[in-house]
Amino acid sequence: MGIGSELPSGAFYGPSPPIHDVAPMPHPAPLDLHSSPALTHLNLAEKEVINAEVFGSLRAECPDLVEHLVTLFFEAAKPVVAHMKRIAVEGDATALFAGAHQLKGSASNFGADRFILVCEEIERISETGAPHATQQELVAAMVSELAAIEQALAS
Amino acid sequence: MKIIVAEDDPVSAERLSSTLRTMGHQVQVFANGKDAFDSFMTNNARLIISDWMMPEMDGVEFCRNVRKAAKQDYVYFILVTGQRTAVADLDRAVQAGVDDFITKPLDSSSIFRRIFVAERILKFTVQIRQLSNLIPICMYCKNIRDDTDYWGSIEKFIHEHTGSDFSHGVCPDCFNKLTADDPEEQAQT
Repeated sequence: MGIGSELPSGAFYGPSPPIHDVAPMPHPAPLDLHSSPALTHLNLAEKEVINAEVFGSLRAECPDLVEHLVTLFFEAAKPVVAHMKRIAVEGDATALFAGAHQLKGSASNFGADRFILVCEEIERISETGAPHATQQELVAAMVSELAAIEQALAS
Repeated sequence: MKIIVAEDDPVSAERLSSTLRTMGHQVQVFANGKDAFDSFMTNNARLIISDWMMPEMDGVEFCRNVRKAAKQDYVYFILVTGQRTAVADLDRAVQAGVDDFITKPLDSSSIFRRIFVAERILKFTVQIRQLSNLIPICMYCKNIRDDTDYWGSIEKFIHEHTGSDFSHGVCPDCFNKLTADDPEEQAQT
């Protein structure tokens, strides 16, 4: 599937639910970046959760807007990730690709390098085909990285 | 300048629109290509910045539809892309009418540069339209200068630009001047 392929409408593109309906991200189990077969080749341990240079540029350019952008990001990302967890079980490659692509673009504003790598991998396996177990493992990695971003930005 | 932003990611949309408003532009933001296109058809926005993948209508289809609409004033179209967009996809976008690209992650300086160039190009398009309404004509022989600096007859110019031909006759004033020395010819008519 290339960029021009048909994308499903609906789940990802409706308005985000009000923030009080979105459950807080649970503290993730430590993500084993070294032994997970779906992740080892990504070398996530060598990447930053938040790229200091990219985030620093964002803060320098629009210091009054950063907090609002972070809020917008999590308001949009959490329901999408939650939905991706459900559809990873069904193996809907098209919807997984769409979700990963959307989140990747959003996360790029903050330099969330590890999260972006996981999103790119989900895009890749959605196009080439992969076992459901791999899809679920990658979505679990995405959940973990999203929580790591939240912790990094909170600090 | 009025600018339409089509971007389904709220973070990128906010960042773009904030930067553009800081530059003094009026910005309308839409979360999908269809709504953006519908708005474009009813307003006089000269610049569109669109994400690629969006619901309802993606950025390339949006651009294609803008070009088909063929409004009198040129519309400058910038497409927002990811860092690893395939060359074939960039070619497809350009063929659809895209003028320029902004790569994510967005940063204010590259947005400034792209908008600066867009404004310059749009000024040129206005000048070109104005110039195309003025025809350089020799005040003595009435020959007309074309785009290649060639001076040719007015008949040739009109024919090339409109397809019209001339049927040559003589107006009464010229006839009288031409036959002033030949009363017999004057008397015959």
